[in-house]
Amino acid sequence: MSDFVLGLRRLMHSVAAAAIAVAAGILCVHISGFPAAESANSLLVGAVGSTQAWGATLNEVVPLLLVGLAWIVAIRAARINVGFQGQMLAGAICATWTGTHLTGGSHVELVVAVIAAAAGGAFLAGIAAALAQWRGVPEIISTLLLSFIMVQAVAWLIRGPMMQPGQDLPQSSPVDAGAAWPTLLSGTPLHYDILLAVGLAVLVAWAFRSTRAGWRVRMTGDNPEAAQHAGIATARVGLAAMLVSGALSGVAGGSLVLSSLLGNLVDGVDGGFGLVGIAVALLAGNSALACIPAAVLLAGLDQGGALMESTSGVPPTLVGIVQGLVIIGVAVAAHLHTGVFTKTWTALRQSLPGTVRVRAPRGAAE
Amino acid sequence: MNVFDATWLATSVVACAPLLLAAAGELISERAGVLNLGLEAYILGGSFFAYWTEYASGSLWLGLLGGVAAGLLFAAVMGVASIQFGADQIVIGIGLVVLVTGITSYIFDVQFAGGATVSFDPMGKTRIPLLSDIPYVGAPFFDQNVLVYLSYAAVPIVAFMLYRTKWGLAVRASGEAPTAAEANGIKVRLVRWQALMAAGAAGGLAGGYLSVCQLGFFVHGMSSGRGYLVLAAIFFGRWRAKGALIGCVLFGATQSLQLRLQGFGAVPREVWLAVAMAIVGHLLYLVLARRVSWTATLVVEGVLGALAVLPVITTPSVTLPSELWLGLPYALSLIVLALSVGTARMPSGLTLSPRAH
Repeated sequence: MSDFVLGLRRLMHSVAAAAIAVAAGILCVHISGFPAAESANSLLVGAVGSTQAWGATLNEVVPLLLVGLAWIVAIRAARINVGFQGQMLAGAICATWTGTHLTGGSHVELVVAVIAAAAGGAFLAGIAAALAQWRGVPEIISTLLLSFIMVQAVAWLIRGPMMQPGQDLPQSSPVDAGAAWPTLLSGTPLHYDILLAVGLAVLVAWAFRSTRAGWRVRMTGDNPEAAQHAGIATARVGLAAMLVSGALSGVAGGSLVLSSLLGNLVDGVDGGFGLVGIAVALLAGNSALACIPAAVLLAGLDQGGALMESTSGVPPTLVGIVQGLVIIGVAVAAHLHTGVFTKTWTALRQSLPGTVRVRAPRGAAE
Repeated sequence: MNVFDATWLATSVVACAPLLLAAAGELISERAGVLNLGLEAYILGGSFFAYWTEYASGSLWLGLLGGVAAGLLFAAVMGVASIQFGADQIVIGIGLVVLVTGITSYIFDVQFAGGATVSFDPMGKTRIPLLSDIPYVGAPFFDQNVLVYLSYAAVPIVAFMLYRTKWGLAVRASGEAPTAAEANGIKVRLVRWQALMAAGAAGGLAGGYLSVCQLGFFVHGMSSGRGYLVLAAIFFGRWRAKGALIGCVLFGATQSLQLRLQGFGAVPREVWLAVAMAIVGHLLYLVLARRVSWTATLVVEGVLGALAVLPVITTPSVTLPSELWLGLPYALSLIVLALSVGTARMPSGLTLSPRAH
């Protein structure tokens, strides 16, 4: 099958999974006694109904897109990084620390803060990667545990060392004006970091398609044994992929501080985007460029959910149900052609008179 | 006031119970080749639906049943997706965590206006006559509710089932070599379904224990990472029942220790002593059992042991803010994993679909 047909099939899977998930969400709204049509309308209006709504949605695209890319970079090298929450928080801490300590107001500060955020995320992912490499601790477990540690670390920092002096609230001082992302669309929460996120998506796509490093990562993920025979240092490639993955989610976490309204570190600054970003990548079929529309869709859903609460009282936690269904739906859809339904259909077809029943032994493929 | 008094022992036993219950089911499932990253979801779902069922029916036992049913339901989603369709187990696990967090929070928000909580009496304690009179250990261990007693037996029962029954052999074969098991007439899919249902039921029961038995109410995200701690414990125990048991007890005891240490001004001397003893004990075990496959382990642990003995002598005044104490169980499990792994061997078929040749 050509790449085009495969891509088309993947697109259909994603669209179908998203549609089913949204429909299930609306059904939930209906069952729990809220006006379904009105809620769906306010969901749409809240997502893309006005310039303000577009700005808010696109602002949320930034962390989702970056985390989606982070998942893709790791999974292409057959590494599983599920600790985006922790890496985002590490990035947010580093961005806040640099942003509050630099003064002067020039945009060099912003560059330094974003690089610091990337370094923070990469450092945390590096711990997990190092533990996997030298001590055999699976990254699935270590990245999750590191996230829990980081949540508590942030809680401690904003009540202790990084707490805003003279204030009684658990929050850090705001970052210097020069370290904050400038607004892109005035009157909306959209900042220039969206350009960085989209640029990184293009960069990741290009790197996988046309660079030697990207090819090495793909080889390592697709067939580690063959890659090793081809002279690729698979362990080193995997480690590098984890570091890049952590850096991307670190930038996402940094953005959440540097483009926020108050520009400071607070509890839950990661906004739960760590897991939803995985949904973005899956919805995009692990393709970097497809992450852009996927992130817009899921960000719109989140923003629309917020308006839905204020107009018809539907709890925004509903969005979590839809997001979960999207993840499960896409993952299942990718296997539909090998799943039971297709098998049953094939069996039925073969049991019809006039057809020869062929069944290879199970081990035949080996 | 001693840190390691009977109160600490009692809270440790209570903290270990849900971990042990969930670990018992998850152990079966992982040995059969199904990794439940969604164990967190089964526990969370179990705790909410147990609470909701008790709210609707007024019966604690029906509530527990509701929790088990929820665990089974979410495990069934996992089964359909990963066993029937062959979808990626880890991805489905992540999806389940997001989905169940959404479902429980949504219904909780709609039904209870997100926090206007009705709380119930937790499960009453059943005192075991003679045993509970033993000094120090008696009351903490033998004056608890029925589910805590069940948690003592859960992992040993699973160990018996895994290693001493025909079904256990089928389970282990399905996880170790699914293709060979299938060739020998074991229905791998069926066995995996059974094992997965055990994990779902156990996770749901552990969740129900948290909400209706231990506390009598529900809060958003009640499971708070216990599912992941259980996965870490099983990994630490190298997929063996005894190891998983030790892992759960270690993490449960740390959880109750950090709760207690939050109330202390500085870290008391007993804690340093315990840490030093644990490291030296483990070191001795490594040497005596000749389990040293990695000489660097010896060096690292020797240095750590020496470092841990130091504060026992000098008794420095170390104080930590409560937030960092809350992170301690996770940090400890990470450190323990890093020190212990080395020769871990997971079931070869873990996370692989039975048809993946």
